[in-house]
Amino acid sequence: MKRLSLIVLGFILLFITACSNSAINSSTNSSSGSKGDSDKGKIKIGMTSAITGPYSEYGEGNKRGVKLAIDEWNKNGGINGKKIEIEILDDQLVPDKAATNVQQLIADPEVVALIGPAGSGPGLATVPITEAKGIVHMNIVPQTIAVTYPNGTDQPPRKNVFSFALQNDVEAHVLGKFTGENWKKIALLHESTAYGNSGIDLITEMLEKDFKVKPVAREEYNQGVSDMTSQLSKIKNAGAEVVVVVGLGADLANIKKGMDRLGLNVPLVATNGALSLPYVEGAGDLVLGTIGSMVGALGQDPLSTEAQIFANAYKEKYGVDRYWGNDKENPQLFMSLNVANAYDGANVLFEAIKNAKSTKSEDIIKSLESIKDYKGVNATYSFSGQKHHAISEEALNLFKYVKEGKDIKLVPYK
Amino acid sequence: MTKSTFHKITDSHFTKLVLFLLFAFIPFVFAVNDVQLFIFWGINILLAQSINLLSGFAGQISLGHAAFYAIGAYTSGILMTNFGLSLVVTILVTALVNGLVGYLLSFPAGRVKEFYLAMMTLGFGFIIQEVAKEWSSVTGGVMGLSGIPSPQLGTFTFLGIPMGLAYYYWVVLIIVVFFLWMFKNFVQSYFGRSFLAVHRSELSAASIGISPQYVKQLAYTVSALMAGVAGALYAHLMGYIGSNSFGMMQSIEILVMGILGGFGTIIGPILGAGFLTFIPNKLQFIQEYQLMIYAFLLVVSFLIIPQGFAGVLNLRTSLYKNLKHKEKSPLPVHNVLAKREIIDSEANRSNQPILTTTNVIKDFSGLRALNGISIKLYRGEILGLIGPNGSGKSTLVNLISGIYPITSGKISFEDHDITNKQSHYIANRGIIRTFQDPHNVANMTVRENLLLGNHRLYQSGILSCTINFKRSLVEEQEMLVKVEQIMDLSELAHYADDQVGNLPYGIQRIVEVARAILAEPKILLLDEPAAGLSETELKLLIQLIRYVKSRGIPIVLIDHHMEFVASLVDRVFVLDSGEEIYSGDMKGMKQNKQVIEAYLGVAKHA
Amino acid sequence: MSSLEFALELIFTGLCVGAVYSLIAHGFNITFWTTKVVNFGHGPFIMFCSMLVLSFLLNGLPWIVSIPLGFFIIILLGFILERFSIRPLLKYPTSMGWIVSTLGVGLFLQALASKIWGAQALAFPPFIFKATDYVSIFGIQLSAQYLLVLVMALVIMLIMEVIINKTIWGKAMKAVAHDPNFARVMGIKSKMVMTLSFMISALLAGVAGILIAPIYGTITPEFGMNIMVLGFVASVLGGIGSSKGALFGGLMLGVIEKLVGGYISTSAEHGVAFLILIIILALKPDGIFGVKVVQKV
Repeated sequence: MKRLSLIVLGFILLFITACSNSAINSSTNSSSGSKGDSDKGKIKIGMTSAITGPYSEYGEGNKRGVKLAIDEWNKNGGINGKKIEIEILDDQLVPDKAATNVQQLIADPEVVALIGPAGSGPGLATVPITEAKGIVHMNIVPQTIAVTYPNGTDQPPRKNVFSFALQNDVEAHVLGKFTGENWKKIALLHESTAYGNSGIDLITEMLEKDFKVKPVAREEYNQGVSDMTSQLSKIKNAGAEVVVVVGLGADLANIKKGMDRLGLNVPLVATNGALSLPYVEGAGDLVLGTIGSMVGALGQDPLSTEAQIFANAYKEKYGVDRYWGNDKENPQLFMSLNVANAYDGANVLFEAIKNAKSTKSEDIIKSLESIKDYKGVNATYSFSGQKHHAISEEALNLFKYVKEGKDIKLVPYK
Repeated sequence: MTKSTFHKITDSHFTKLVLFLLFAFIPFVFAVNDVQLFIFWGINILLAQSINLLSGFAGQISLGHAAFYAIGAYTSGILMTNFGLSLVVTILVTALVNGLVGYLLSFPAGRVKEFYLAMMTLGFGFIIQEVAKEWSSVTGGVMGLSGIPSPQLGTFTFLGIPMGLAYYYWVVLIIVVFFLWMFKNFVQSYFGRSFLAVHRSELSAASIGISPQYVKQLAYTVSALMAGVAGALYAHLMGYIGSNSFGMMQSIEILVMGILGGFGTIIGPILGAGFLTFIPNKLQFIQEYQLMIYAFLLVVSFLIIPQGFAGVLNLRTSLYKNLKHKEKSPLPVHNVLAKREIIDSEANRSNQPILTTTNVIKDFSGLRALNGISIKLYRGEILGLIGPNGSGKSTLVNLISGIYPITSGKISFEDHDITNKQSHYIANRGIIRTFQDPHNVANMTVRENLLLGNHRLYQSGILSCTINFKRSLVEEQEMLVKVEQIMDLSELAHYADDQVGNLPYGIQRIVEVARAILAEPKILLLDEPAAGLSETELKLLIQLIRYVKSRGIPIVLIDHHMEFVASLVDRVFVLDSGEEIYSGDMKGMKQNKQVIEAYLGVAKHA
Repeated sequence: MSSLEFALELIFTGLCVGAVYSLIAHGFNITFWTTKVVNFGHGPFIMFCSMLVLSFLLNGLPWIVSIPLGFFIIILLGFILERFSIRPLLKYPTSMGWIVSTLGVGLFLQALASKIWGAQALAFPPFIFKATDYVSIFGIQLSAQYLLVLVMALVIMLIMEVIINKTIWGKAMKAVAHDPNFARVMGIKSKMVMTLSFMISALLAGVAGILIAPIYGTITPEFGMNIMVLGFVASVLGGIGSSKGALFGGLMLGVIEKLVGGYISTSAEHGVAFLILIIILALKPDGIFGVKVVQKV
């Protein structure tokens, strides 16, 4: 028994000398914003995103946006003289991995704010953790409202979450309003994901409430399915005058091809997926006439100063690649949703830290809430205690595919 | 360090206590995220052991294990959010629900194996995921289920006490240690051994009285139960569950933990789970290549380390309970075999045949293998069953032991009709057989294989074996003593702790015969036991057969080795092309024309 | 549109979708014949070949060069697969080894593809027919590309039936399937037959890839894995190892899925497919067209 007591004693000594940020310490006094001001001359940001895996398009895009912003700030001397550093972890859009990454990042006392994951699933899995810790969480991609407003948009947001995503409700309102004003027999079609379900729910609600229109059909499909004949046949049988889709570009291409084959020659109105490359490439000339909603910033001619700076910086660092799109001169609209949003989010965060002159979570939150009319790429940002999302209906435009000569172009609708 | 000292150290209670304390201290030393990783390790250990039991021990591959994990997570998540039940209750209910699901799945899954089973479990995994996705009123559908009390969020209470992550870690630690202890007890009991027997060969398991069906039901039930508990712990850790956490990739990852660690051992899957928990997290800098490396591991793991980490580190788990310090207490010495003549109340009817086949006919897709065979076997005799190759000797043994269904005719044993009964049922009645090529479990030691022979004699219940009730331990010791005795008798003691697969062919045969004897047969059927034996081994075999006969147990002996047969049998029965051509004593046979004809040029070596 | 027309439409599109499953299921048969092994990485093979062809096309090569080049590489991969991740594992009594290793090869190709081409959906150009070409049958418009797949599935079935029953190759394959050692004694190069069967299977994956990719319009690294699973269901339904089974299993699965989608709910389509898989396996593991193998003692 002597040996045992010696070992136990050893452990107790080990415990006493153990590092101060052990789990037992931080879980017993997890009061929000216990981060001390770091005097090391740097400001560290944490980020978890889908850097690899099937959704890396968003994660990698976000990473690039954030890096562009950091480069710019650091070139200009950092935040109040402190250089910005970032630690990026990969979650592959898997909720467990995202949650573990977030724990890892917030366990680091130097990390002052987080840039959240690139999907609704990991988003919903991580916000409760960051909320409990009170650390700033910049929501870039997840469109689900519940990430920012757990009890609906008419209730207060999570204190620590600020959203730069194109929220579901905003997109749904634009589409609902547009279709409700123009058609009576509306058919709805959506992918069977959180994004698709909640989007269509919101559109339905709006149509029924504001326009007293009951959709003639509501169908769903799995992402990546090749054939939608049964869904489209039902829609056709219901005598729809317009089809509203919440889904991705690749699936939209199949929907459009199916509509053409079945002779369902009615307009197709869709969420931002309609303006993505896979839709145009997949459906070819059939895209003509399709109307989609999107953050309008990169569709303006000429681009705003901020958008132009962003576009130049991107082109300089990464060149004309898939994120940029096919047009060598102008970045594609879709960059708003995978690169520019992260760029804006990072910029606003840095601006807030600069204004706060502190890296305490409460101070950054206060500072973020007092951001007013900050001009970003996607929108002009203003936050308040009640409003933690930035992209509102004004920032959205409807675009339509038209043919100019031999090229298919996107033009603002009307 | 020699292997034995290593085992002495790892097996000692002191080491275990130190290890436990080390783990208990983790929250004091490590940061929150690392503690969270340790919790994940614990959850993954449960998952890895769960698939280890099903695939590693019972040999039932599963590509849909995430389904059980999902059911566990959802069940406990829903119970806790909707009904506010405490962790103890939700874990118990979850275990129950999962056990039931596993039990039900064992019925369709028990009918198929290998590749087909892989397909079926793959399908099962997809169905559960689809249900989780579409049944949105209950599971939250694609939006997932949030608001589950979680220690990460400070919303978790246990017995009324709010719990942080560190406390949750201790809860998980205790649960995992408890499960590992039970798991160890379970696999080291006759249940665990019967799993491996079914894994090796369902036929051979059934031949010593193990019901493959029962083993599979048990394997699925217990495995699902463990995965369910892991799911419950996961749901509470995360506070949010969504259907895409439980897809095919998760199932594959669970399988890989087991394979990489080493199936069929206890330490292996623990290491495998640890590897897949910590390595991807700690090697973030290679994140771009992470998926490729993972896939590469899948490709090469079987090629390079077929036994997993456990194989590399030589960490085999022994499959019996040896209570070193207690075994010194002198146990009553019995004979391996109780003497039948004395025990059988029907001894006075010893002129009645113990086994009768009446007009047995067997057709294989139109070809008649046996035509109207009627045999009577009497107590205490050795009946030689001989005939040229393809004459139907083995077929007859296969019919008696219930491996093939009979086309027509009747087989009765001790006045019971056993025609077309399942093989394990027949074995349990006391008809024990051996096979033409030895059907031992190659990766079990001689002692463990012999213990398998005792399988049908065990009385202890599953709970008793899992919790290590004293009665079950005493029983195990008694069986071990019997095994020692038979090893002495068959001179196997030298090989006791060698894996059977590594032993010479002849020794494997002897092991199989010894195993059959340990099953306390009422009839012993030996199918060519002498084939491939050396002179010394043959002597051993004869010694064993004589021993069985001396106990009054009748034997049916098939062999081509005429000298060997002649030296043992009381009576012979000769088959040719499925027909009986002679029945009587050896002397008569040698003069029988038909027999001579049948053998001319066919079996000169006889 | 009348209800009869709706039903007919569901059945016809079911046949079309089912043809895709058949095409994939054909790829499993040939290796199952020789080795009782099925490539769990078949789906990613399909994806990888279409990705290769696509990237050749994007680099300015014409179809006539891109396709043979793609086929060549995929056949080479089939060879490598057999050599390094199947043959060494056949010595084990369980199928766990090759199931995991072929799955690993598949996942590796998937990871490699997303490293090379990114995870975004890439548009695959129309092949032979335009995406909008259709044929009218009984007033129902069917996509021409789908019909092409249907015809191909039928043609492959006929070729396979002829090869297996009429040619020396088929006999060799049957012999190898029955007993590789015996076949060797008979002068058949068992190992070569096995390797060749995997190369042909890979080629079938390639053919499926370039025919199916235009139907989906866009391809991602994930494309392939998902449809492979349905290909499994199709081949089990028909009886794995049977060409007729692959064809009819696939078509049946397609029709059932579409009928369920049309009359019950599209969200139940796949669930029902997997339920059928489990039921068929439990009741008749060798499928509708399969032959029961007698267990050896």
